[in-house]
Amino acid sequence: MPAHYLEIILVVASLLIVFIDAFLSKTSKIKASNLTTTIACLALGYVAVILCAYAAQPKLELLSNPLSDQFLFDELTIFFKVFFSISTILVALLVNHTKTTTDGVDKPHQGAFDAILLLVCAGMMWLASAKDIIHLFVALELVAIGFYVLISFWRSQGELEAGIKYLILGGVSTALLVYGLSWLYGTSGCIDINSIFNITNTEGFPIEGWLLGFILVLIAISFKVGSFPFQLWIPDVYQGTNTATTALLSVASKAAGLMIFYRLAQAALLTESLQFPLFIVLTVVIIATLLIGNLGALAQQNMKRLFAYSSIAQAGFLLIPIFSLTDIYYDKDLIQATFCIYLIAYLIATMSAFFCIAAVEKQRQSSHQNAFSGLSRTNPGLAVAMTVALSSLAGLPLTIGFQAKIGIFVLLVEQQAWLIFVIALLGAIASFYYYFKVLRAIYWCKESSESQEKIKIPLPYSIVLCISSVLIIYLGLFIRELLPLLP
Amino acid sequence: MFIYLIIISLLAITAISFNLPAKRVSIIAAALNLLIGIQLCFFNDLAQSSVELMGLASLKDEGEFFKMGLAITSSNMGLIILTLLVTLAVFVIPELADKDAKFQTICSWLISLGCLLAFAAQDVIFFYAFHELALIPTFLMLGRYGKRAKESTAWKMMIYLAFGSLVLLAGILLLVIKAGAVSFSGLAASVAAESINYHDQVWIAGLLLLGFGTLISLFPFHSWAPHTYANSPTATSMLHAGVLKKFGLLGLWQIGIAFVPQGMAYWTPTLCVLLLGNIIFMGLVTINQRKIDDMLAHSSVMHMGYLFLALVVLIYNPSSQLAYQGFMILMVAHGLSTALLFGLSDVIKRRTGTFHFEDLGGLGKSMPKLCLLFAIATMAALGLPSLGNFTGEFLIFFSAFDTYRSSGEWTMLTTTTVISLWGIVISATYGLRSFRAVFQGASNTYLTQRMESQSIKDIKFSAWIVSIILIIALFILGISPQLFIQHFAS
Repeated sequence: MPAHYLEIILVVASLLIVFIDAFLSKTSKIKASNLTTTIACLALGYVAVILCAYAAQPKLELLSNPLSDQFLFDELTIFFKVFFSISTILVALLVNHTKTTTDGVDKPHQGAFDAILLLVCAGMMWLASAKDIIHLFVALELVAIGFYVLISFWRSQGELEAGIKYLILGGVSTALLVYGLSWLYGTSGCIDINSIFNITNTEGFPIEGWLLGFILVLIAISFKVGSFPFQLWIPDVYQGTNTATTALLSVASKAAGLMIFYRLAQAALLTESLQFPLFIVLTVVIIATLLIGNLGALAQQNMKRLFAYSSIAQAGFLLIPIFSLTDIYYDKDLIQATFCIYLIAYLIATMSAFFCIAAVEKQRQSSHQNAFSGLSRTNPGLAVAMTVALSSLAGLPLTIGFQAKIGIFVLLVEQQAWLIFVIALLGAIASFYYYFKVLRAIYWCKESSESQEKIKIPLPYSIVLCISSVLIIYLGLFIRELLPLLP
Repeated sequence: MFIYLIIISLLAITAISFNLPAKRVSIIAAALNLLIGIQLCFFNDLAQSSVELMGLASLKDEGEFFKMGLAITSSNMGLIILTLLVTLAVFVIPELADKDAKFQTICSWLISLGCLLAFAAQDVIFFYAFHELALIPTFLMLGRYGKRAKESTAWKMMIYLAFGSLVLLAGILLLVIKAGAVSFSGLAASVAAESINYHDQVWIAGLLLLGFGTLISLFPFHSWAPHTYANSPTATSMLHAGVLKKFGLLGLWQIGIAFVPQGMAYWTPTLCVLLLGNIIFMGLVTINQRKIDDMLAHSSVMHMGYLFLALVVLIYNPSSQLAYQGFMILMVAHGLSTALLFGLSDVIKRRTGTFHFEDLGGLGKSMPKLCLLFAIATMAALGLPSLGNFTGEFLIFFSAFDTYRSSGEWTMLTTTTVISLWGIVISATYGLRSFRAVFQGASNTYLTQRMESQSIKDIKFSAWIVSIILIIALFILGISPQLFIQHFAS
């Protein structure tokens, strides 16, 4: 099967969901939403399984790449496609139980959410295969527009405000992206990403115009990643929107931005004159991102806002392998492996935490930290799952987050980037505080917690939480099992 | 066979989380572990007890240098026995309310398991990682069941120890990368090949000292310790002060002195001054304390000074048998005596409701057994001959004078040793004063009434038996330490 059919499968599934939702939801909304979630999960699951099977045994030739000069399909692409499909499956499961569809005629049906979810995932998967700037731009736009809708889907006040913020800021960043891409095309005459960078090495190349384009593109990508000067939208948008979209934004969208950043950095190695400036820029960006993310999270009381700042900090950590790429004598395989392990750790832990937040939010109607109080008495299983997830994010040993952080620290030490190393360590210390603040609420009961009842956790949530907690600890101890699976 | 210790602990935790009676399960499991541990260490060939745990510390390919595993060797044998003894004491001596039993026992098991695995680790990453495992249960216990100012103390402890741990991690990572190995055997081989230059060694040693020093409560980085031990529930302070602190000391010996000896030598002048801060300064602070738990907390910080002195001697002369034996014996003896004292002070609090010296007094009449135990434990802590602490301290001081004996030269180490001898006087002061204040003399009227009406009961029988076991261990260390020493090579 040609590899580009995978995204087409997702689009077809999304259209199917739209039809089902249009006709079936008149009779029974709950059945419709279950059905659409099932279809979404099936489509995404099929995609993920085919990709994994192909990666594990390429000789079976389950997938081929006939459009290979326009459609990128290497190992890193497969990794990211699987990453996006798994995170989308988890978000689909998450959203199925967060909103009951029994109230309000004006509220959009949940089937539409699943449809757009699939389109966003298809967009991100296309982004993973982008080889030229037009492909990049169109896929990025699909993702962005999908998110504009998802963020304000149920039209509550918080969601609308978050949606407007994301729309305006995202619109500006898209405009900058297009302008930058047009400068790159204008000065180089190519649309293929590698050629754009390669051609700067020719004699008498107008590097100033090219640099302008490159900087504008970097600005737009930094917006998506949420790194230093363009991270202001993250806390407000993450807090305002519904929990499922927050989960998708913080995991998948951020990973998509980082992926583009990584590809651009890899391509930038082809341009000799970019080494040093990129090194400086990345140093400043990483230090500032780490400081802002970790220090900003210290004061947060709302869980989603806390996770917003924590995701800024984690993005700072994830930029470190990209920073290591500027040292061209360095071991590319190690950098790529570290990058992927950190992303996996981030995915499992953040999704697990968001499932806990969603479960608590549904019953206790609040995403404030105090909604978690008394959880160790009422739901010890949920408390343990949250503890494991937070420990992994903080980087406590015996979790996969620790292995990921060690990989990052090893990269920094080998590159002798002492300033970033010290700030990353300080950031890790600070992160203990804000992650364990939640543990304080869970385990150290206050008087009001006596009246809290047990939270009913839907079965899919329990299954996901069990699997992710076990995975976090298992991979934390036996990470060697994971290595053959990585690009 | 070592794996049985881990399996039994995990089974105990699982059983308790499924609501089996927490205290009984814990006592049985802890007693079993102790018997297995004694058999492993004393009646077995130690080479059979290693357990290989798969793992990967870095993303490079594996080999001897990256093997990660657990084993009981001669250097951690004493500490493993200490852990098992103190774990048993933790479940018997402090008296837990039934509704708290489940949470507290699970946390205590987790801390104990973390200690056991950390001591048995044969590579730096596991060594570090399992210590961290013990940090979260301590944090949770302190915040939930602490005595006073629980939350602020818990945060202070957590942030301080997180700082120490991350500085330690930086040092360990630097060591691993410069030496190119993770396992202890691999690092030893790379040290023999002299692959780390002097400048790097100084940095690594500095980071290790700062990191481990914070965890051991070395002088300027000690301020988390007195509050933590005074305010935490007894089980936690028994485990932390008695057992978990020794992790840092073992780390400095196994990792610092073994793998970056020249780097550590650079820091010895600083270390000499700082350890005097522990002994003299904290000793004097301890004399000023007016409550049993505060006094015990400060005294445990003070005693670390002697162990640092042993480390300084070992830095100068890593093959010094006297210093090594003194170091090992004092670690075990100090752990036993501190844990016992914390446990007994909890019994005093529960019977009389107070820790203040002014309010207590004359308890020797109504609690004769407790009085005997407390007396022996206090004598151990202040270094009375025939108990383990004396042996350890004596060996350490003797070995510290070795340099003077051999070369006739009065070095900084000699000065430090002479000044730290005063620590014995200081600990005698507060130890004897506390015993006299609590068990002899007169007490306040409320307590006198209760004593006359016989409502203050003596220590429970099970606690009495376990305390006797700990005291027998202290006597063995004090009277015939050869029984232990023959099992350590150097």
